[in-house]
Amino acid sequence: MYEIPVGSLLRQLGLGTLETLKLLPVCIGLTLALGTLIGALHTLRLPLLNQIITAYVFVMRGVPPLIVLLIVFFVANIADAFLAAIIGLSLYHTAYISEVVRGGIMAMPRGQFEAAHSLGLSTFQTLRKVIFPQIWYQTLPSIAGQYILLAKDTSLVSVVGMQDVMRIGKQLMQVTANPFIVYFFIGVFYYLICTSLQQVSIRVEDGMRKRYARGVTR
Amino acid sequence: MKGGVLVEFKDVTKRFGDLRVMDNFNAQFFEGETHVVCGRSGAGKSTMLRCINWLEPINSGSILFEGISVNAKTAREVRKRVGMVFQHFNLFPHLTILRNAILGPVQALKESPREVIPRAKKLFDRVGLTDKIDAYPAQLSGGQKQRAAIVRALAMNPDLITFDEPTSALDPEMISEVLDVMKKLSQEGRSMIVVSHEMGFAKEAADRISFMDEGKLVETKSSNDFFENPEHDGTRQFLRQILQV
Repeated sequence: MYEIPVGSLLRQLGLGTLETLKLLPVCIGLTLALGTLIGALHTLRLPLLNQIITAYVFVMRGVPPLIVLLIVFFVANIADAFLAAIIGLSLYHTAYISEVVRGGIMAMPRGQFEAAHSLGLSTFQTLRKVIFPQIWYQTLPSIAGQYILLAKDTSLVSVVGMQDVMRIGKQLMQVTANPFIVYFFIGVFYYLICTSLQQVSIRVEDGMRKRYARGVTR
Repeated sequence: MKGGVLVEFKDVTKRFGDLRVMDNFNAQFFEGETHVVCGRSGAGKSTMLRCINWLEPINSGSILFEGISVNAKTAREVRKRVGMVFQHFNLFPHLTILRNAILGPVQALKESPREVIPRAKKLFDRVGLTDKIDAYPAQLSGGQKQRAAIVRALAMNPDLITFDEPTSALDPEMISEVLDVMKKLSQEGRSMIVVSHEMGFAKEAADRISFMDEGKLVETKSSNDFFENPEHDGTRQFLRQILQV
């Protein structure tokens, strides 16, 4: 067993964290785009599509993210670790985001849809110009919460072979045999990521409040 | 086409589950006229209005608007020509009232904001809201909101405007400012269908008044006739109750 200087330990864990951090913006972008699309489609109640979406959400809600990652990796046979991690995490979290978006759309007063339709707006225009600008403000806390969970779930991606902070931690632990110090620092890194996300959400919410609060009375 | 038939209902039936809200409903509404429809709550008045622009699909029969049969396919075309004013305004709270007014023309009619904004400003001027165009709905009183909603409907240059109990959600002191705007529109010869219990407005501004009961138009008369010679028992009773203030 070797003693590794704390500086070196931190540097290696930091590099692993950077790998993890590369996942986040891609996953957030993907889940937001797909979750919005699927959530909106779900509210249209199209015959076959509705059943497919319902089944998808049901399955994702019923299965732990670790299993989804493993299935993507082994069953779908996606060998690239980074790609497998992105697909697995996005597949899982898109389901949750789509439900938040669907809830936001359904919470809109019917009169908003009727007024937009009575002006001759298409369903797509109604969603884009009237409904979505209003739901972001209300759903932001739920969406931010979901992305904090997503950040935490990135701690699972070593199972598909990513050289992320958890994998590096495991390797370091075998060298140092000091799990406390290794996992303590990993905890610190995750804490920083999650609280930063929280800060971003608070900032965005403040910005939206300044822009919309005059208009949206709730 | 002045004076021609603008909207025609032919044997229209509309059900909500087992409830027949419109029962073999027949009616004609004419170009250039202000037609007030009154009746008890639950008579189907609002539903009737909402069928014209397919906010409510009908179960059987047909509705013709400017000769077009209203259905799921023609709904958008019809909506571009029918302005609607709602009981609860339904303004878009995230947009200033100017943005509210230009949304339809820009999105649905594909007009450029440069053309629409001056037109909308003129309309706001006519309803006395010039200094409020950059306000959000939440910053306005009920009467101001409803006037803004009327501008939003007018900005589409519609061939028909429908009003669904436009003053029912207003505080009493704000009713007249909205009715004054509607009277002006009526005097200009706009085609209007107004579901309302404002009998003062009906007497003064309506060309025709109808009484609706249990999903049917039971009586339609010119404004004077309606008040002086109501024929139907239901109409008489309704007028007695509503005029006895």
